[in-house]
Amino acid sequence: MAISGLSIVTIIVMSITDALTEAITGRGLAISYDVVEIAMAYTIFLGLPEVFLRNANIRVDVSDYFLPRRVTRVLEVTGTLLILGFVMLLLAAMVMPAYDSTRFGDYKYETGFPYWGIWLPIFAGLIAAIPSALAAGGRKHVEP
Amino acid sequence: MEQIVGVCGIVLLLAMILLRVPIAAAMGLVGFIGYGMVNGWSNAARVMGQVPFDSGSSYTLSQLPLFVLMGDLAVRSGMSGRLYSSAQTMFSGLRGSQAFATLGASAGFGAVSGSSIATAATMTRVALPSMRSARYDDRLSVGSVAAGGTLGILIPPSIALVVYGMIAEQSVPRLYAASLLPGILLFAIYVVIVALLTAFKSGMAPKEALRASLGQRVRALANVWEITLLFVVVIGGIYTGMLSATEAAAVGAAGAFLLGFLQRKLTLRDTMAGLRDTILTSSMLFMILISANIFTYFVVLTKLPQMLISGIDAMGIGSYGIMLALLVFYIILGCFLEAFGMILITVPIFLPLVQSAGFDPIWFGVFLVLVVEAGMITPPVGMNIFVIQAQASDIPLIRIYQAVMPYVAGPILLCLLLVIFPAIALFLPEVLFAP
Repeated sequence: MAISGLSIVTIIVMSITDALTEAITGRGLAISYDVVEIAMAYTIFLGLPEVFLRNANIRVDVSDYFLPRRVTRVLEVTGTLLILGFVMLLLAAMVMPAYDSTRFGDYKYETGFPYWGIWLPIFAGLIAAIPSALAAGGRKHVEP
Repeated sequence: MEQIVGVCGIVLLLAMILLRVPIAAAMGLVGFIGYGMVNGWSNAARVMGQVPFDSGSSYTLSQLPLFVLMGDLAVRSGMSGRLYSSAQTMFSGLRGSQAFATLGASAGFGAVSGSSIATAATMTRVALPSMRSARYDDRLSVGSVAAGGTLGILIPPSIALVVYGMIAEQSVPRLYAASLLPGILLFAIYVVIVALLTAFKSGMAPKEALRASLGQRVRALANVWEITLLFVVVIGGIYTGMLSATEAAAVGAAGAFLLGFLQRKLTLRDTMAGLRDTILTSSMLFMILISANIFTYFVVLTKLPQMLISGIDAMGIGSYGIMLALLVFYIILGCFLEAFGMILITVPIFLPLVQSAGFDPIWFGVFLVLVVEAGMITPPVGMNIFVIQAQASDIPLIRIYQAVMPYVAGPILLCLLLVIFPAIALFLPEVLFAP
């Protein structure tokens, strides 16, 4: 979360500096787009474990009003398993493009920042989301 | 074949969402499986593997967390409370003045928050206790809070419009320009609804004895300078082209922080909590956006939109008939789905149809946000209703349902006006962004 927070601050500082530079000199900072895009990946994906830990993924809970509690519990567990399945599917599908961009040495044009540095928080966030989801599910399960 | 898979996919998606599967998982899994069935599994894996990188490091979408942060810091520094007390002074002397004030404060707060839920949650905390202690009928107080909340996603900046802009590939500044007049108009319609409710049912609100003087009203107006300043700099910067949407959002977030911090109304601890909540909200939204992108690839592949266009063409109901049918469809959908689900599922399917009927995609963005707004206060699934119920749990859900019903007419009426007079939405973008 600390890195995510720093990344948001980086986006703010970089965007304002870019706007000011453009207003003063007539030309924005060339690296601004790259820095914002890199910081975005760190902001978004490193926050994911906390989303899963708090069970904060958006669900439509209209069924709670007419289905018995036991059934909604089953639906909730099924939902958690499905989102875990989706995360694992994403992880598996990302291996090839991440490997390719690392193998071919892809990098951001203006900053020279390597693509693997962007894949890193994406993998880290999604991998850490799995135990977080399990912990949240387990916690909910033992609640009275 | 692909169209059958498409229809089955959409039915399955709706079933999964209604059976409590997280929206992100439902859209992502249906999108992946559908794509795989139509175009092969290796192609599906290739698409799925690239989407998190492309969506999660998108410059255009970077404005989303920044606008969320701006709204969050504005709440934490007490701007919403000051806005409400100023609005109270402005409307003092009228029967139901606090309900008018709630709508006014919601519209003002919508100018910095961009989120319907944030606006409704804030106003529930700020305005509801005050109205209840003044013996307002719950139907009036709750209704005005829920309806006022919907102004948050129409008056720019709007997170819903950013999401629409991403999925429909439309300019966010143009969308912000298009939504301003409808936002003001919707506020006016809600004011008329409150005026009618209090005029015909005098028990709804007590008669207001105190009436503020002109001087007090001017001072009250001056009291909301922070929000006015933020709105002028952020939205003015976008409208004049001096700032990109991301730069404006950054200036807004930094401005909200500085205004709160320099006036000692925002501590570092508040700021940290604001950052944490912003990260959570943004990560959650991006999870859905990633899935929506995968789902969009699937929908495009199935050629469902083309099938829909030729089917509707064959029916010969005309462009107004199409929009009327869509309005009814969205109102029904809004009873069961939440805002982002509605936008992300339906735009890839309906936007080509709307464009083929001769409507502008920028115009459709405003129309869509309006029907989504109606959905936020339509029972049984209305996010604003749930937000109010979570904070005022002694009010029965059924009473909240009754309270919001008169206000549902607001966005529906405005949708009809938009269909008849598209210039309500298109006038400002044409003036501001003329080639």
